Amino acid sequence: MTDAVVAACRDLRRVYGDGPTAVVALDGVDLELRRGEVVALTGPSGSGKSTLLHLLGAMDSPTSGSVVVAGRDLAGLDDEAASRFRNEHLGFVFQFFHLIPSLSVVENVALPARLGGATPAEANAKAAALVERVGLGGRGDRLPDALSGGQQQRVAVARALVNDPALVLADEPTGNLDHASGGEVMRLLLELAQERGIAALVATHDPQVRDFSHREVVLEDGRLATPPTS
Amino acid sequence: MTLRGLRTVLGVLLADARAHRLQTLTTCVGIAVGVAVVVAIRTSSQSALSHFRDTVQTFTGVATHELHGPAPLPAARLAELLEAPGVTAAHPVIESHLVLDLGAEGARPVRLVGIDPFLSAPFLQLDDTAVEQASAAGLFERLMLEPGFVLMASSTLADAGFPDGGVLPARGPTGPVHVVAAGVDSSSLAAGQPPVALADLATAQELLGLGDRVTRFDLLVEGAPDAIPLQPGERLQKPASRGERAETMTEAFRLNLLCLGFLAVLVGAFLAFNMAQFAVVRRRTLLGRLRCLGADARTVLGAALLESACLGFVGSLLGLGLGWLLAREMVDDVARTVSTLYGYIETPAARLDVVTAALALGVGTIATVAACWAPARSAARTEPAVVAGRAHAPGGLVPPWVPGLLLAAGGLLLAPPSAVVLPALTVLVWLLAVATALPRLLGRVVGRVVHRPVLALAFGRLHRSLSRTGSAAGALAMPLAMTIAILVMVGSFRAEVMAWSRSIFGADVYVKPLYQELYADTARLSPELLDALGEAPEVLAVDRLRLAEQPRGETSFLVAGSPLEATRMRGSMRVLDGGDVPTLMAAMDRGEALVSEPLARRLDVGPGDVLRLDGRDGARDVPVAGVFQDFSWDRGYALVSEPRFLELYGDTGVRNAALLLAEGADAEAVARRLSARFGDAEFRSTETLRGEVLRAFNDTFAITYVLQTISTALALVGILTAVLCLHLERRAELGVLRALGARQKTVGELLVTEALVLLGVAGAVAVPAGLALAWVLVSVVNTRSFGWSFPMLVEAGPVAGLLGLALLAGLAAGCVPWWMVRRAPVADLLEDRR
Ligand SMILES: Nc1ncnc2c1ncn2[C@@H]1O[C@H](COP(=O)(O)OP(=O)(O)O)[C@@H](O)[C@H]1O
Ligand SMILES: [Mg+2]
Repeated sequence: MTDAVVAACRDLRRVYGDGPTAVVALDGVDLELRRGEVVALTGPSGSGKSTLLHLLGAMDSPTSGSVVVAGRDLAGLDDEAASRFRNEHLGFVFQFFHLIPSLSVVENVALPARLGGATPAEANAKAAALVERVGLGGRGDRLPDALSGGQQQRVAVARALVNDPALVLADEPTGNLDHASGGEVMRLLLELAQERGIAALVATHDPQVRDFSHREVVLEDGRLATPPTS
Repeated sequence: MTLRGLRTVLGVLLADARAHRLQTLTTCVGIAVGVAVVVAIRTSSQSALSHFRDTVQTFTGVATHELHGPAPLPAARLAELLEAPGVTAAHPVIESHLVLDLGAEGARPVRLVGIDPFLSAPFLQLDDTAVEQASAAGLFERLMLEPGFVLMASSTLADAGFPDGGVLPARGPTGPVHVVAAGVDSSSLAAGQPPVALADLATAQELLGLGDRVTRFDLLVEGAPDAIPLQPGERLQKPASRGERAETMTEAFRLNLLCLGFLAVLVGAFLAFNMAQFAVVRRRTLLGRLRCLGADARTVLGAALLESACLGFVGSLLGLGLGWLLAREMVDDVARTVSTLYGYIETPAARLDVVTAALALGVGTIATVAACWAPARSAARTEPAVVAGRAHAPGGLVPPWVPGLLLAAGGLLLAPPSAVVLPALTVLVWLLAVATALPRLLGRVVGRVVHRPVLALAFGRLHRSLSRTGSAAGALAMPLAMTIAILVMVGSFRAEVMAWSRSIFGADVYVKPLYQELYADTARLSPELLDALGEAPEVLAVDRLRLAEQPRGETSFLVAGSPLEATRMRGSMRVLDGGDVPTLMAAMDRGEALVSEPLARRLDVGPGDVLRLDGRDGARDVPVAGVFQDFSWDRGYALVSEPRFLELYGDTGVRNAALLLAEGADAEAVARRLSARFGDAEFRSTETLRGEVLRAFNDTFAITYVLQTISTALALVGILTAVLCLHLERRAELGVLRALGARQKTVGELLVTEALVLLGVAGAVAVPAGLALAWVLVSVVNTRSFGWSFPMLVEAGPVAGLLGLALLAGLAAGCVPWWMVRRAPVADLLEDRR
C-alpha cells in the first residue's frame, strides 16, 4: 500500500443472517482508493454497493476480510473509536440529503465539526467558507427546507468535507435529483476531491456519474467485475 | 369506495400494524390503561356496594318499612300490624348490643340481633352455606330451644379467642348474663361493626331484659303505609338509614370515581391520537402507493377508521383483563372505604358484569376511533404522488383560539350553581384545553436559538413538527395535571379533617349512655350521673349535649343545645363566617343560633338570616349568628345555647356529654376510672376518639390512594409512550448523526435532553393546570356534592414527589430509545431498518 492509497479492502465478505436464509452481500471484494480519485461504484440493485460503503464507512463490520482507511485497520475499532474515526476521516453524502431540518445551512455544515469538539466560532467560520465554496454564499442562514434538492445536496457535500476527511462515501447522491442538478453535484464533488486530495467512492445507478469520475468499478452479486485498480 | 376495496386497504393497514408491533402495542396500551381504570373502578365499587347492600339487607331484611317506637315496642303489636291494610308481612326484631367479658383483656361488644326464625324467613337472608351448615349441625333447633344460645361467625369467635360452643360471660343492660356461642361460616354475621350475634327472639329478650318487647318491627308494605295504626311517638321509616346511605354513597362514589375513570379514558385516547398521528407519518409512502394503485380517499379514510376501531377493541379487551385484575386488588380498598363510611363489610369477590364489559369495550373503541379521526383524515388526504423521503407531520397546529374557547367553555360549565356533573366535565374540557395549547407553548420554548450543540439539536428536532411533539407533550401533561389535581384534592381534604378533628374534640373525655340503641330516642345520661360527674374532682366542667330533630321538607336536621364550655374555654371551633369565637358565644348567649356548614348550604342561611325552628310552643325565628365547620353530620345541624334549647324544646334529656378536665389530668386514666365507677355510661378519651376518626378517614381515603397510584402510572405510561413515539419517528436521523461521527453517548444525551425538554414544558403547564383542576374538585365539585368546603392546601412534598417520579420516567423515556438504538448498526439506523 503506497502513500497514495487512502482506503483498501482485502477479500471482504459480508454475510447477513445465517442458515438457509443467509444473504451473501459481499463475496471477496478487493479494492483500493487513492488520493484525489473519484470512483464510480455501479451494479444492479442488491449487488452490495451500500454494504460496501457501510463497511468502508466504519458503520458495519465485515464477516471476514480487512478494511484499512487512512492507514487505520477498522477491524479493531470499538464504537467510541469508530465514531471519532468517522468524524475525523470520513464524509458521507446520502440520497435523501439527510440534513437536519431544524438547523440552518451553515449550522448543518458545521455539525460534524461541532461534534468533533470545535468551538462554534471555529466550526461556523469553516462551514461558512465551505458554503461559499459550494455556491450557496447568500443562503447560509436559510433552513434546508427553503432550498431546492440540488442545493440541499450541495450543502450535504459541504457537510461531508468540513472536517477535511480522507475519504468521502456517497450513496446514490444524484438519485433524488434531476439530471442537471445531479451533474452539478457530481462536478462539485470531483473538483473538491481533486482540490483537497480526497478519495471519493460514489455508489450510483446514474450513467452521468461516470463522466465525473476517474474510473468505475462494477459489483455483481457481491463480487467485483473489474480488477481493483486500472 | 367498494367493500372489497375497503377490505383490501384495511388488510394492508393491519399487516403494517402487525409489522410495527411495538407502536401498535403502544396504541393499545394507552387505551387499555384507560379502559382498565373504568373497569376496575366500576367492578370493585359495584362489588363492594352490592355486597354492602346484601349485608345491610340481611339484617334490615328486605322490609319496605320499619316501625320504631320511643321505647321498645310490645311484641303483641304484631297481630295488629299484620291486620293493617297493605301489610303483607311483618316480623319483630331486636337489635342492640351485648358486651362479652374477656376477663383481663377487657370487653368486646357484639351486635345482638334477635329474630323469630319462623316469621323472619322472608326477611332474613343468611348466607346459604351458613344455613346448610347450621341445619346440618342442628344449630337452628338449639337456637330456638337453648337459653342464651347465639350464632356467630366462626371468624369472629376465632378472632376474639372464644371457644366454639363455649359459655361466655357477658354484660347486658340488666347485669351479668351468659351466652352460648356457636360458630358458622358466614360473612354476613361477621359483617357489621361490632359483629353480629344472632339469637332467637326470646333469647334476645331475656339477655337484654326486654320482657316481651322488641326494638322494632320490619314490615313488607304494598303501596303507601298510610293505614298502619301508629301510637304516639312511633314512627315508620325506610329500612335503616344505612340502606339510604348506601344509595347516597353509590351516587357520590360513582360520580367521583367514574369521572376519574373517564378522565383516564380521555388520557388513553389522547395517547392513541398521538400514536395514530405518528402512524400517518410513518405510512406516508405506503398510503401514497395505495392511492397510486387506485384506492380513493374515502376508502383510505374508512379503512383507517376501521383499523383504529380494531386497535381500540383490542386495547379495550386488554384493558378489560387488566381492569379485572386491578379490581381484584382494589376491591379490598373500596370495601375499606365503604366500611368506614357506611358500615363494616367483608371484602367481596370482584365480579365483572356484562354491562361493565360492554361499556368498557364500547367506550374504549369509540374513544379510539374519535381520537384517530383527524389523523385518519390526513391519511386519506395523502397525495398519490407521494414518494419516499422526508415525511412531514400531517396537519398544522390547532388555531390559538381553540384552547381559549375550551377554557371559557369549561368555566361556563361551572356557572350553574348546583350542578355537580357539569363541573366534573369542566375538568375534562380544561384538560383538553391544556393538550391543545401545548404545541404553541412548546413552540415558544424550542423555537429559541441556543448554541450548545446537543441542546440546539434537541430544540430543532422538537420544533420541526410541533403538532407532533406538541401532542406528545399534551399526552404527557394531561395525566400529570390529573394526578396533581387528585393529589392536592386528597391532601387538602385530609389536612382539613385533621385540623377539624383537633378542633371538634375540644374537651377531654366523652360520655354516652350504654345501650343507646336499645332506646333509640330515649337513651339519656341520667341527671344523677351528670351531677356526680360535675362534682368529680378531676372534672372542671361538663358540656351537656341535647338534641332535637327538626323536620324540614322531605328530610330533617338536628338542633343541638349545649353550654359549649370547651369552646368557650379553649376556643375550639372552626368558624367560617360571623366573627370570632367570643363574638359567636356572646351571640349564642343572646339566644342566637350557629349553623354547621352543610346546613348553611342546604338552607342557604348565614349570619343575619333567621332560622325557623318548630319548638314545643310553635314556630320561632332564631337569628343566625355564624357558620362553623363540621364534618360529623352530613345533613348538618344548628347549635343554640342550653337555655335557648330548653326554652324551645323543653328538657328532653342529655344525649351525651363532654368533660373538661383540669390542666395536666390524664384523660385516659380518668376515662378508665369513670368507667369503673359509673357502669351505665361509656367513657372515651379525646385521644381514643380522635384516633378512631383519623383511622376512619385514612380508611376512607384508601380508595383515593389507589386512584392516585393508577393515575400516576398513567402519567408515566404517557411520558414513556409520547417520547418513544417521537423517537421511533426519527430513527433515521440518529443514523445520520452517528454517520457524521456522533458517539453513542452523544445520541443518548440528545434523546434524554429531548425527553427532559418535553417533560419540562409539559410539567410547567401541568402544575398550574393541575392546581386549577384541584380547585374545581375541591371548591366546586366537593362543596356541591358533600356540602363541605375547605381551603385548597398544596403540600409541596407529594407534588414534588410526583414531579420527581415524572422526571425519572422522563429519563427512562430518553434512555429506553437510546438502549434500543445502542446496539443497532449505524447502517440499519440510516435505512431505518429494525
Ligand atoms: N441489514 C441487512 N440484513 C439483511 N440483508 C441485507 C441487509 N442489508 C443489505 N442486505 C442484503 O444484502 C444485499 C446487498 O444489499 P445492498 O448493499 O443494499 O445493495 P445495493 O446497495 O447494491 O442495492 C441485498 O440482497 C440486500 O437485501
Ligand atoms: Mg443501495
